[in-house]
Amino acid sequence: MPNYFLKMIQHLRLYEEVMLYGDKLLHFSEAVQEETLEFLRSEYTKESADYPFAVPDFEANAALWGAKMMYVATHLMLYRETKVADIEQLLPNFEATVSPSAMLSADLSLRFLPHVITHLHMIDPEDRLKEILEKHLLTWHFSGILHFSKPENLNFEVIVADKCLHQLYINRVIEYKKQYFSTHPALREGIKASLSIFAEEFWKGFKNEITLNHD
Amino acid sequence: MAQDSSNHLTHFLVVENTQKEYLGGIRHWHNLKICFEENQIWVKDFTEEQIDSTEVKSIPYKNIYYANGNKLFLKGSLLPSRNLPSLLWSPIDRGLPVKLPSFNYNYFGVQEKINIQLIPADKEQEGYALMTDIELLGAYMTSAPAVRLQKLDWIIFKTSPVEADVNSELFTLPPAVANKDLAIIFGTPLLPVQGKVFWRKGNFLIPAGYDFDLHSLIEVLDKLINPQSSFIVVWNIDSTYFLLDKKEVQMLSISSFRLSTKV
Repeated sequence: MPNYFLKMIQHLRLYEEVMLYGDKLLHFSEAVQEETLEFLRSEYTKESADYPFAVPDFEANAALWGAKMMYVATHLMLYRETKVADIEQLLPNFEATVSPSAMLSADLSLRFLPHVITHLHMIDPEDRLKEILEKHLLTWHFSGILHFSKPENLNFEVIVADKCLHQLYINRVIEYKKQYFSTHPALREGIKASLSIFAEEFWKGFKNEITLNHD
Repeated sequence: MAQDSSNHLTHFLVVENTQKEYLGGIRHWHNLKICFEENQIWVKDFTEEQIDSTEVKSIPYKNIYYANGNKLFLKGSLLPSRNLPSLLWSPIDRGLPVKLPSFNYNYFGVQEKINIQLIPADKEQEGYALMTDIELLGAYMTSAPAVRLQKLDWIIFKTSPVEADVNSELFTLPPAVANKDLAIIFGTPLLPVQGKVFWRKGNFLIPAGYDFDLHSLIEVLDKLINPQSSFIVVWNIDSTYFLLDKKEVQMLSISSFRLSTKV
């Protein structure tokens, strides 16, 4: 049987599109997982060449967990036969601790989750699946910056713990121009340092100080 | 600048035929129209600034009229002095063609050469490129925020020992430059790395603070050095230069730096 899991993740990474191959859900054999993991590992090596500072190691469990999350979430979005009660079991929490390497490894696939949630929101704002995915993004918020408008209820301990992850997080906030994130104490200094005296050029209308006073 | 149409008068300038040479000073204003009467030359279509300019004021034996209705009034006068003649107008640069002096067969200066020289410039420009040492750049690159790199390109090159010798006094970089990998980063804002800043003029990178003595020759010079326009010409302060192939310029990113330098 072809490895649909791997094919879907490869397509996702290459074209940033989701391609599903029929209702082939929820059984990940050892071989399938192993192949996909190899692919994710090579993707991480390629991508991490562009990460600043010392790059955290690849964490296989987290990468695999993130890929599964994307696979299952998109499946559940398209094929809606699953009972609501089962959804939660199909999307389990990550078992180990959320370390910086886990955050970055899972991000290989999880970064596409905010777009899935946007689609779900368009289908049905009250969707139970959407709630569950949002709950996961609260933990993995490096992948979810695009989704959140304010950095409330987010835990920045993991982010600040690693220089590389911290800088990548700042890069992403600047890329998406998330005003409220830029005033968060964990990010404020870093964002100011990154924009330096060229804030106006890189981020039109960037107001670090003024928003602070209003808060 | 927008013109005040309510204040606009049509001015006519009249000179005798014998004064024709003096019109050379205003021939480059392409908006003017000219026509030739029997022994007078008429020029019209001046703007307000032009009619009050030194170029016009310095034409001797002239009459300036302004038109009101069909009458012509001497400038500054309220009494009409003549009627508006009907004339055939042509653009001034057609009416007064330029004649090149005939070739001087006795000129023996053909062998003369000019020196291309860089001199301190009086006009400031924005820095465009930064030449720096790979190691200095590396210290910044590994911690660089993505936003600072997104618009930049770069190139690595090796200085040959000869070049390094020539440049040794001119380089302000701390380590000796002999046989060392250098990088030039193109684009703004410049990175906060120690190095030499360059201005850009077409394909030329000129050390910041300098300009060519004969700066109107830049295009000619570029054609001579760089006929296909396929190189970037980097100038040193002592007016020597070296070429960098444009094909070797890459986008600057952390991975590009890491994979190129294996630091």
